[in-house]
Amino acid sequence: MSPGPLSYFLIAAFGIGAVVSGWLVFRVDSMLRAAYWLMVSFVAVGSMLVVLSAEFLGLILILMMSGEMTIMAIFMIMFMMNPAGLNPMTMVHQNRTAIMAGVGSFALLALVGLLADFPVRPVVTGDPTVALGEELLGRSMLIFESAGVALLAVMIGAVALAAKRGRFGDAYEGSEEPDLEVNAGDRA
Amino acid sequence: MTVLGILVQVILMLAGGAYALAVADRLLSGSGTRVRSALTYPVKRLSFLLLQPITTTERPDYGAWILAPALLGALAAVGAVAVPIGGPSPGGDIATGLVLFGAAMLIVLVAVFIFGFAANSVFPMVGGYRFAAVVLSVGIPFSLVVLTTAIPAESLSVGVIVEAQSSLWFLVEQPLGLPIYLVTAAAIAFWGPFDLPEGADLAGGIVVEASGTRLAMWRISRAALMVTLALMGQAVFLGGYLGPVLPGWLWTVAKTALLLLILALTGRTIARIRVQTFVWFGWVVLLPLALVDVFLSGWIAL
Amino acid sequence: MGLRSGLAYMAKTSDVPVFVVVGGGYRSAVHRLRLAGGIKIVASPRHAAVLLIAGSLTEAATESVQHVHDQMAGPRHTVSWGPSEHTVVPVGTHVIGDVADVAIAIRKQFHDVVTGAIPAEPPLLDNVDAVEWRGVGPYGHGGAGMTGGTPYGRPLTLRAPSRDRLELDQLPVVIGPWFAGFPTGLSLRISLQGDVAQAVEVVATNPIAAGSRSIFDQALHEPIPIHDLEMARATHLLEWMADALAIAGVDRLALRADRLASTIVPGDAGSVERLAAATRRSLLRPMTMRTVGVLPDDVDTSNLGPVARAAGVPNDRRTLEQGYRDIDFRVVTRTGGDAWARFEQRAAEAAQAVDLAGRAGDRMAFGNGEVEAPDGLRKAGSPSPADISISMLDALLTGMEWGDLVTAVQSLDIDMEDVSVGNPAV
Repeated sequence: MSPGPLSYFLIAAFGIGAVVSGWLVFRVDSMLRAAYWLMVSFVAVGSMLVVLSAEFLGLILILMMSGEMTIMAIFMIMFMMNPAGLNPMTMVHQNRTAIMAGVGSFALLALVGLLADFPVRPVVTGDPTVALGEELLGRSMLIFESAGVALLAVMIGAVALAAKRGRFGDAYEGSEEPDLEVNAGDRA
Repeated sequence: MTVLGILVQVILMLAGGAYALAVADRLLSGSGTRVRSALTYPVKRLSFLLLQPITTTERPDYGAWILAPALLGALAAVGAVAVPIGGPSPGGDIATGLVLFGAAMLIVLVAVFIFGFAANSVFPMVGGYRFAAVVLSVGIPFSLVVLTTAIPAESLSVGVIVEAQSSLWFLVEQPLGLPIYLVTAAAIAFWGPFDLPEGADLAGGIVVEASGTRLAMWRISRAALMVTLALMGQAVFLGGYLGPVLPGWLWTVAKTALLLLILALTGRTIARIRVQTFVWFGWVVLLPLALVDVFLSGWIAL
Repeated sequence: MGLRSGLAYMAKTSDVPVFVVVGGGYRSAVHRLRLAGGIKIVASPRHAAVLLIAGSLTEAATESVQHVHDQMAGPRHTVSWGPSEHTVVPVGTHVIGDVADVAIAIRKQFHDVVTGAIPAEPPLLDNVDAVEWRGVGPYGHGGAGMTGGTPYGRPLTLRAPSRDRLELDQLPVVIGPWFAGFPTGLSLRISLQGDVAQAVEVVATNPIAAGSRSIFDQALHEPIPIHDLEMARATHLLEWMADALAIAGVDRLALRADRLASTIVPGDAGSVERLAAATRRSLLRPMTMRTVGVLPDDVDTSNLGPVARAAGVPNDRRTLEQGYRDIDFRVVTRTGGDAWARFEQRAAEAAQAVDLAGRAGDRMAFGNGEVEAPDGLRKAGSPSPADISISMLDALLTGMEWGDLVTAVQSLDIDMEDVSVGNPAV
């Protein structure tokens, strides 16, 4: 996409959206809503990247965040009182520390933004997949290959763990609920 | 093609597909409906739902409840945009179409979850949780089999992937792909036998408390989602618009209808799976098979 | 023609979404109603336009039926169906007659209420909050700390250790008495953690009043032709299969079972066997039923008929009767004792019953105070099979995932009509 008034407008709109939804994370009264406002904020950032012609990066960000936020919401709801916000609760605590950390990191990032000497690189024309492939197997090969192999190992490990015989029998039996009381022998 | 043109095309495709799916589902329901009355059935049903007021529950999340059906429909539309319908588009289509589609389909989880959450009621909430378990179990195999089609095509653009099948459909070249895709797609569209969030054992689960326009919106959006999944399935596995004699868009429509029919038929004839069995199936059967699919395709491509 | 009347014109001939409250004596009739054209029985009152109250209810049903009535979105209308008018919901139309009559009445009332010819029913209960909102603080969250307050008089959820020893939330809920997945009238008080039932207790009120005596009750005291008894058994078992298939999400086969239940003729065991084969093809066993609902060892189930026989206990009162011996009756059993074994057992018994009815001639059965009913042994002065099943529900269901819980409850075939009135948890 060639930069034009529309691009500037979209970036500004998504930027404001990201900030507002980020602010809303702390203004709502349930963890689930907080988690999903955070997701909206990330989606806005991802959309900014798409407008900046970093389509792949932006879409991957959106893709990852949508899954992650749901996992986060489920864990929060599972481990804390107040399932799904049936009762309202406040989303802020330790206000002084949080304010200091927030202002500090904003100042730091603003300084980086103002003082750093950003390289000027033209937008890659042509198929971004090719560009991505060159990036993956070119200069950044070591990083991506090690990350890729690690992720593959995680996936195979997950399969192995899922299929393994565990304390509740083999994988199929293990998918059944065990008794509510964990047996004394399993405690070790 | 202009933005407006694409929009009209996508809406026509999704609306037509959703209508056809409703008719087919009615014919397959076993109630002995005649074709003639099945053709008017979706219209009558929609008319009734539009007449019915929207009920509410005790302290629901109004915003999320209104947003969720709209979000689901929007995700279906976004996913469909990535698929070329009638032939190679002159301006080239979305270069990272597959990623766009994948992202849209995984956000379906969010739409379903907040739809269940919003009603502030037990069965919808349990339905939402179940769907989280479902999508977390099939999300990886689903993404893997879709992305695997990009390996031989050497592009993430769906148009290029379709063109790469001009000699041989990926249905043949990646035999594991379409079966895994159909299973995971049915799960993502919470369609039988994987309709866990809307199961009869939850008296309808996430839709228990929904009525009127809200229920109609949700049903239409879900049908549109099915159409989008079938559209992508035929594009990456059945050669999309490629085919002899007939115009390209007709091939797309025919192949999409075929996949929708398969989904509608299995949804009506196979018993709903238990959550535990499904999670086991996702991690122990589907994921390794999807990895095999990736390795085989990569090996062939090299 | 305005938009509203246009929509009404289209909607008035659509399938009528009906929510049914099934009272005493009308279980079978409601199954036949499913086959009537133009009627769709729905599982949630929110989706319904007509509330059908069939059969006899007790006073205990009043409040729950009124809640169901008010949950219907409207345009709504109530049709009550039974021998005598009752006072549970003092509105709507009363129908005395058979399935065809009530189907016509339902379609007519739906037509009228949708087109506005008759006004939609007003709510029966006041729409007020049970308890005033009592939260304080900016979000009503209770003030100090992150949570608190008792909105609608509801304290924060309980906490209880999960099986992995994590302290997690527990939500106490009452499910029933008109939940479509349970036998009609059954209510369970359940502590849910996620979708796992951590504690289950049967609610000790019975909204179902006993209807007219069934043929099996008559057989306790007088000789009955074996032919009639076995056809009634086959119908009951086929209708049970229809319920099981509907809960498993295969409505197609559920309709087929209902159709078979209303059309089956003596001697036609083949139709039942073909239905059983179609069920196996629907993967009901591996998908839904395998290993679900095995009874605890310490419960005496020997009088539970098909449930006992599905676990390999060859207990059947019919072996003692001369009439059945003459036609070479043999006890059928299965092994495993899970929900699928019960399904197969009942399918086999339905086929056997149809076969026996075809060969029975005019032989009579007379149990002299004992009869083998489709749900087990009924004996004058002893707890009914339903009573026995109810008494072991908590032990059976505790710790089950929700879907399995519904499958397990359904597999026991509990008839609340036979539960000791008012106090099911005897």
